[in-house]
Amino acid sequence: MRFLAWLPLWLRAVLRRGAVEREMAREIRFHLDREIELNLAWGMDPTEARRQALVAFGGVERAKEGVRDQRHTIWLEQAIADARFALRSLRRRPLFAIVAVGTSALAIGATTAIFTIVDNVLFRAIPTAGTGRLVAVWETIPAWRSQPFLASSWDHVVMDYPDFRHWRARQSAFVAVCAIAGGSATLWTDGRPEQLSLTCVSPSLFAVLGTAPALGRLSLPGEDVVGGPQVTIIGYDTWQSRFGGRSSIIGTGVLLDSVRYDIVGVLPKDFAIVRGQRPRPFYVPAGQSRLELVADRRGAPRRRPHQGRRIVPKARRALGSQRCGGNMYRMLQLAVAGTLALPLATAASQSQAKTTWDALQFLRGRWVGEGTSEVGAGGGYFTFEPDLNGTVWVRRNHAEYPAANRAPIVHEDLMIVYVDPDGATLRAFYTDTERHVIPYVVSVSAGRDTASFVSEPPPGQPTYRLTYVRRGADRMSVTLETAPADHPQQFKVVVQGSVRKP
Amino acid sequence: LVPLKSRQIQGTLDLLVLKALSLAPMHGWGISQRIQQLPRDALQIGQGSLYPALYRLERSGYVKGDWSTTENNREAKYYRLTAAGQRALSQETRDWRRFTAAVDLVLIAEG
Repeated sequence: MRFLAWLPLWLRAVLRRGAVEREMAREIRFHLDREIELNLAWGMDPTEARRQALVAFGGVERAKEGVRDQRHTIWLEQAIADARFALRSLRRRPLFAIVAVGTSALAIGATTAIFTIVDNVLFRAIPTAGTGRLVAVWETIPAWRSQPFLASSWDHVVMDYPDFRHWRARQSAFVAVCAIAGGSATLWTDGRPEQLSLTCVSPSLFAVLGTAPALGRLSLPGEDVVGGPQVTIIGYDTWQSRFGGRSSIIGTGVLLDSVRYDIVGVLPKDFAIVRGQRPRPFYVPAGQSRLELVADRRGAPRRRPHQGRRIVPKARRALGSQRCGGNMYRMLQLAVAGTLALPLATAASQSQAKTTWDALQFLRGRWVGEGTSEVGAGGGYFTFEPDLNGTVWVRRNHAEYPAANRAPIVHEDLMIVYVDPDGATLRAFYTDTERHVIPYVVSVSAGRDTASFVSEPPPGQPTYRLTYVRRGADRMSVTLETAPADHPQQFKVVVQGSVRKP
Repeated sequence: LVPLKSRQIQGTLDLLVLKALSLAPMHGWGISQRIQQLPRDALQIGQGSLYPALYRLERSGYVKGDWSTTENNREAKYYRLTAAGQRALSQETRDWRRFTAAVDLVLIAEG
């Protein structure tokens, strides 16, 4: 298209150079005449009017030279651009293969305006086991190179969250990718506003970094959706200074931009994404519209031709090349990627899974109901054991409800716990003899004494939350709560009881 | 770091020219008048820079120039936005917004 558009002009320029020069002179003459007329109308004398017009124009010969430059260099520019694109296309497939095989494991994606600090600061600062496998994945938009203002950033383009989500769902080169973005919000305390910075993060960021919470939880599973639960994780300093280090703040709310966010966790004292920079006071789930990087678009990502991704490895020798063409998604990301090879990836995901399962150990075994609560009534019991060679855990629940004049009502269900493909989230499916099937997200407290199963209901359905809390070596309390569809955070206790190991 | 101003101006100018032409076909002088309704200091460019930009846009197929007669019966080269130019304008506007939003975020994040 562009070729067809400029070719006649160029031919005309070459074949009729004199005519084109005359046309240009005529055009500029018209321009100066109008400007002089305007100046005369302002009351200037003719000499001054002409002088001012020339000043405003900024050099007739320079303008002509500029036009000639445009004309004479276009074919060369175009040819170079075409050649570059051809080279990139050739390189694309093999390189993509190298990256797909050569990267491993943990990955952390960051979507934000981190620009040049990435390589120098961020990678070294992230205190994760996977630091050496950290790469940044940036979106590249080669078309921007012909847009002078955008040219300087064509190979490290900021993305927005829907694009990140889209890419995350389809990428398979990394075990996990995450995203962060800076932002700001107004915090309201007792009616007083205060502007402060915050960070939007994708759900598995802290899990992938291997950050353990000082309090509460650091995972935000399923919360990176428009209208998702508004929860926040706070920095350690903020916890100490604003909230007096009280552990009772979990579950309390703060007003950010007039919206209530429930505090669900506190970051550890030494946490910093960027070395030397104090953590933000508040971390909120990305992808919830209001705080999104670019909030003017929803749904499927816009695709443009010739876009690719650039991977900037922490250790450049690990990947050999910085460029990774391939998919069409606009992207700026950080990823913890592998130095080499899939065995590493497998090892990493296994160790990740092992860590995750370790947290559930306190649930393991056979439990029977005690007391008079409904949970244990009528001789109910459940077991919680690994299954399928340790790839899932299964809770088998058996409850009998005594009934007058007939056999007790028997209820049996299974809860199958598995590691989400993102490698960082525990999920579960509940199913029972009444053919209910309910997905859950599982979180375990840092102290590994509380496990919480929160259902992910379809729209319009209530949310369930099942919580096990360890009470000594062989007792646990069990609480089942429900929250109405229109207030998914307002849980009310349905049944509560305790179970023990026989 | 290349000084922002010199890199910034050309792309910005293209965008402003497309925007000016989106309202009606216009000759070079008319475009310069429309653009210079902006604070003069915001764009420290001579009106002459407009012509390389117009030629660049014409060669990209975003604008098309034809000689015709002004209301005062003078010959002037009128530029109009093509369909490709219209698309480029909306694309560039989006990119521009996205870029400035990103820069804002950096400034907030690092400030």
